[in-house]
Amino acid sequence: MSEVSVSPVAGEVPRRSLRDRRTLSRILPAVVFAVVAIAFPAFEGGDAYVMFTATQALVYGLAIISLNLLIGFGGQISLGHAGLLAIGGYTGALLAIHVSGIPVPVEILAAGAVTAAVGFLLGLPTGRLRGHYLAIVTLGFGVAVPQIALNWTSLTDGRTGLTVPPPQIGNTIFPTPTELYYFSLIVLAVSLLAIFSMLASSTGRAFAAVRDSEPAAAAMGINVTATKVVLFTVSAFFAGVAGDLNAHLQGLVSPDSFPFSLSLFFFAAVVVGGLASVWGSLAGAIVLAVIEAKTSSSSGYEPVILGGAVVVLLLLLPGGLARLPATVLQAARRVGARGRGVRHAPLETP
Amino acid sequence: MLRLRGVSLSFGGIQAIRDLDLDVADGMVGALIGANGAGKTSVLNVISRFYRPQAGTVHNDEVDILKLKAHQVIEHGISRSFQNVALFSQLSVLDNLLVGADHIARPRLLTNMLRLPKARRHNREARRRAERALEFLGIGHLRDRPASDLAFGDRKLVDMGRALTAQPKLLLLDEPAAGIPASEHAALAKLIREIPTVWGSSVLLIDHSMELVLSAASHVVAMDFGAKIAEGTPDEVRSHPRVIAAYLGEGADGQPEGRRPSPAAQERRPQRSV
Repeated sequence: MSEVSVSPVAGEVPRRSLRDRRTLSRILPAVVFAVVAIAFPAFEGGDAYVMFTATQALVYGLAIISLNLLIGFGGQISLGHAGLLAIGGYTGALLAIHVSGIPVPVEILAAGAVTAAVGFLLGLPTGRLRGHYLAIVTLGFGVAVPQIALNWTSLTDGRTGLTVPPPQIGNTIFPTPTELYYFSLIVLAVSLLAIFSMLASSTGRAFAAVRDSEPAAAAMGINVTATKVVLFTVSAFFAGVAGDLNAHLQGLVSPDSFPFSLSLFFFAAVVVGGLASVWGSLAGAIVLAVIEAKTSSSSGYEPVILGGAVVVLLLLLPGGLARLPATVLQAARRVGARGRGVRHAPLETP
Repeated sequence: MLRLRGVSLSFGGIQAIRDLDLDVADGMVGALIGANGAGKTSVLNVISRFYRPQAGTVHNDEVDILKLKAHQVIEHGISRSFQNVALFSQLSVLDNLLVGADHIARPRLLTNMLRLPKARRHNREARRRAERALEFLGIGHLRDRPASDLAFGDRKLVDMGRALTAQPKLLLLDEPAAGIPASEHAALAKLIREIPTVWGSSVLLIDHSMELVLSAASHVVAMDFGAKIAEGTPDEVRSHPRVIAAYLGEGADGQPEGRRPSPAAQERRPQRSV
């Protein structure tokens, strides 16, 4: 019905070129990340502290992506994500301690599955609760989990916590920081493949549909409440996997490992990275993990410096780090246009 | 065939629909007309199960629609567009249409995560349907644009495309011409008339544009204050005294009542949302 084309698409790039650009913008970050992440230990010479920080960034990255699934892709909210990491961490630690010789992939899947079951229960009230009310429920959950761990001493050893052995597959153990880094990188890569596949499928579209318009989603056959519960379950699964990796990295899980500030840190990283952007979340995790590591010696001032960095980043990039390439490209075009004597460079739409 | 019998709906003291009987036969384009507040959108909201009427029955073929939940209605062959264009704003136009096709086979979470053959097959089939709707509506050039970037008229077409991609037996169109320039209403009416033959769907249409409704539909029901006041072919309804009185703001004696604004004035004034 070409007669009813309402708005002219003046100056639009041809369709094929636009799709090529989109494909490139999807693949390029993956290639850059893979190359940098694989080569990173070689450049750093396996320095234990640097490798620890880098592994922490990867683990936080997965946790933050799992939270972004909930907030950015699904339009829900959680202020208690550290509680889910705690459940994954404790599950993994208990399995590693009590089930001798358990292959770490099985342990990670089990940690994810147990956390997913908790996420499922946490998602059940979303049929009735949203916005501020859901925020309070999840906040309560995040605060309650460490308290339960503190008091359930027969299982968790209370404040002392559980010492977690290094990951193991058969007789192969990954004890060094570099080995742990690569191990975490593989788990992250597999998780990313699953997450990207899901987001490009009917499941990912259902999450976005519920986020953008619940009535329209229902009219298109999407069970809104069930979709939110699935979203919480999936988010919790990956948070549990991150929790287990974190337990192996820290070598210890204790109630003090999961303060409320960690949930806020994840929340801030989702916003700093950019809502509904997987790569943005990873970038947010790396930036905030590095800032945290660099400021860890400035006793007492870490939260101030971290908070200040969040404010500055958001003032400079309101859409988060995910908007950085587009913002740089736009600025470069403006400079180029000015150089050619064009007075007003056309505004770009995102 | 859609069949409403004795449907009544009220909100508090306001009677939105009064004892309404309505049929939409297979392969037909039917229309509901009436001034703002006549109850047209409420009828669509009852059929799509957003509202539960206090009385009456709604059947599509043999299925009792009132026993379904809103998200189950599409499985029984009814999809709809929205008066206030409830697009999935952060998705691309293509993805909006894919959501419309997703109900045909919703692969399970793990199938999608692991990209098993069933998931890939479903994506291919959904995409084929979406491309067909894009071509039919002439909006293929908007395929990769975010829905939030579109002009209002284009969003209306995407909204219609999303409902069409579901390949329903009955398509409910809630004011498809709103936001589309009057000069293009004739083309839109032609398009709607083609839906039964091209897509095999019957259509129930509501709109403020008399020109669009009367040229697109073969059967028209006129409503006023929630009640049916006339029914028949477009010509019969257009010339019905009660329709003239209700729609053009004149009494049966031809004197202006001053109760209704003209259709043109109605189109200018802000629309009541769903």
